[in-house]
Amino acid sequence: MAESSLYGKVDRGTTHDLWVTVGIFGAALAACVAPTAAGPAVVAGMTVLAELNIRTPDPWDAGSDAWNDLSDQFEKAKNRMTQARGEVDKYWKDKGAEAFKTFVETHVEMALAAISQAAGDVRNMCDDMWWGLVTHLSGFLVLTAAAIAACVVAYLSGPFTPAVQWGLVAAWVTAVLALLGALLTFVQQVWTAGRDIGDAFSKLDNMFHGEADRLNTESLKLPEQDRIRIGDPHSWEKE
Amino acid sequence: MTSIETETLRSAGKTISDDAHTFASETVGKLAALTMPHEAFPLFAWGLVNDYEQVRRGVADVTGAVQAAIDAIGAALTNIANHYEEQERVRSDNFSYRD
Repeated sequence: MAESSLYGKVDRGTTHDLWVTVGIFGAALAACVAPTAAGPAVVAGMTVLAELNIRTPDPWDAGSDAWNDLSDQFEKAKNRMTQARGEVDKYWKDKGAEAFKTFVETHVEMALAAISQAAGDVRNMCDDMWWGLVTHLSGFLVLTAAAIAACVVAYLSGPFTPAVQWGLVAAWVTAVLALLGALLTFVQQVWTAGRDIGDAFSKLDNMFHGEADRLNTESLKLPEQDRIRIGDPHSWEKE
Repeated sequence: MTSIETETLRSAGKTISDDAHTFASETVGKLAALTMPHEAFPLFAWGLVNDYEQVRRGVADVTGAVQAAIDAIGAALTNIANHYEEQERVRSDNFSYRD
């Protein structure tokens, strides 16, 4: 398998840095809510859950651009093929021409349309993954920072009283509920990405249904009879 | 066919052959490198790792097959243009005002 042009050492390093950042924010909040009973454990649990779903969004951005370019390229190739078929149709009329037109229209152009649409769906999947990862990361950092700020305000309000402790509890409970909401949004985004990639495969499978998980592209092989009809001028005269 | 018509056929053949060449020299290789490793996916999306690879491989397979098909078609159109031009040349060689 060729080396990925989308994911490399830099991305691995970025993901590692993001894990460290998320860990620092989580540890800071857990330390802030240490005087409360369940606070540190719950915050630690949420931080671990967030960490498991933190990845650098950059490869998905690059993937979106690459698949978008491919989708455009296939679409333009299809349009050029349609135009060429129309031009040829004006001047070339015999059985070879009919075989050419039928094969191009029903196999080649449809295949180009299918891979263009599939590439567009993969681009959508990449966009969904990018957006999900960005909102998940920023959501965790913003909500955790807000909870840390709330704890600082509670600590600065005076000597450590039950009111301060309740302030800390309110801070971590609010943060955890908000983080759960953000996590649900992330799950929804992943689900949408899964639907997009499923749509992409359906478009290919509808035209090239094959065995197991491989597509069958035999229909794109020019049949021998058509190959002779189109490519051998002597056979046109015989027909 | 006139020379203008054979030129149209030749031009169509070249357009198609150019696409076949681009597919072979750039697109197939680009698709092979669009893999997304397992570690790029967050935990909740691990179910999509195989789905992504299946679609990438499918698009690559179809692109390879399309490349082979349009390469053959482009060459055939050029062959046809050559054939008609040759016929035109033979006819004009045999024609004379002296007869």
